[in-house]
Amino acid sequence: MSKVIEIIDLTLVLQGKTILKIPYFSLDREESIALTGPNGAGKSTFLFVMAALQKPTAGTVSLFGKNVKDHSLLELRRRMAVVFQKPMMFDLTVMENLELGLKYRQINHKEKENKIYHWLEKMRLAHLVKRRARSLSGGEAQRVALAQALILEPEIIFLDEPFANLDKEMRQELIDEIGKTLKAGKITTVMVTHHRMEAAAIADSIYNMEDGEIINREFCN
Amino acid sequence: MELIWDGIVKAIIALVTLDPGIIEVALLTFQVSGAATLLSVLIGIPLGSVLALSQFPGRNVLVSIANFGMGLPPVVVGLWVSIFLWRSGPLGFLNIIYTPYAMIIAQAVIASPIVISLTLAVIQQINPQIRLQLTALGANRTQMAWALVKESRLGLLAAVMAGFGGVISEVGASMMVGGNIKGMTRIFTTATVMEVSKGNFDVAIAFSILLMLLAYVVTAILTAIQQGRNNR
Repeated sequence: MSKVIEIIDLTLVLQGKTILKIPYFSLDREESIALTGPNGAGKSTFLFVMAALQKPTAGTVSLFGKNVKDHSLLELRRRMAVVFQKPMMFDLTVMENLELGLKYRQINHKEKENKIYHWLEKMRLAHLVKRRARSLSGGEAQRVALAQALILEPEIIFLDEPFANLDKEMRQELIDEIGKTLKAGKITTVMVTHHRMEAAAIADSIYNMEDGEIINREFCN
Repeated sequence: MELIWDGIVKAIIALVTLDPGIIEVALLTFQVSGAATLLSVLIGIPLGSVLALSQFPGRNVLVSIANFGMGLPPVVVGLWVSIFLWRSGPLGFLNIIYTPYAMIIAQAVIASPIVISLTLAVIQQINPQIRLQLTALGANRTQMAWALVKESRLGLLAAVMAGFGGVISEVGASMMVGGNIKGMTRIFTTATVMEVSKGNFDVAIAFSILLMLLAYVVTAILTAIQQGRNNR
């Protein structure tokens, strides 16, 4: 299988402190991994570096076989999607929020509409379509954020604690649903989580991190 | 007190009878300040956005110039615009000195720094997470700038109101480049100054009331747009 992410000799230093130190890391197409570890282990920062949202101090980051330093980041970013821990909704309706990424990719109107309604249904958001996204509850906003990423049909998806704002029942329901969707869509997945149960449901393997380093890897059944 | 009362009565009579002379001045005041505000928005919002979203050598100097420009004395602007527009000046070939066009240019010079600086401040204070989200969604620079402008539309409308307030109230620049010519370049502020100099304080008070009324109506419309969007 081809490598979609490859990282060599990565170091990230911020304000004189070493945040990440990863000698080597790679991810094959369609592989799903979870990053776990205590607070401050560098999980989210590592995810940001992989998603080309944070420049490393040193080392090489390659996405889809292309070094991010020498390639158009916009082109690479449009093949990926990110769900942040705190969903940031734009001051627009739910529909318009879902439309944004598709608009940037110049998807035609009909196709755009079909995708939006498909994901609204799937995420149980259809009744909120005309609501201002800023007025949603934390859980609703998180579901919109998940739909906003999945609607783009990315080759890689980065999930930073995507189920953190959901209640227990919705969390379990969505973990199953998203897990199936990611597998069915053959989407390479990188997820940051504190919950091993979530990690095991979505990922093929779990990378444990501590002090900015990967300390071990466990395979899930 | 009688003087003020006479002025109020004159203003009401002018409004009720739709005095053609007053209507002409009101229309020109609105057209000149409206066009100048529009011009300053077309210049100020893109420039303010670029300054807010970019890092380049000399950026801080440009930001400080824009901030300084917010306090430009209108009479100084009037003098410099006049020098440029006089027949012997670098832009004399345009032949627009003592026309409403010259007044629009002068007022736009006054309003643009206000719009640039406030746009810069409004866009800079947007939550950085919003920019990160737009980057992750695959927005290019133009798409990002447009999304941020839309996101900060409440603040930008405040910038437009500040720009309009700055120009509708100025007198020095319009007097110098327009000349206060009856039927051509006379607006409320220049007419008020003229009537005061002639000792017609009641007429000057009437003009001042009508000017405030016009400024209030325009600002109230912009506020309604701003707050209407906010409450949606």
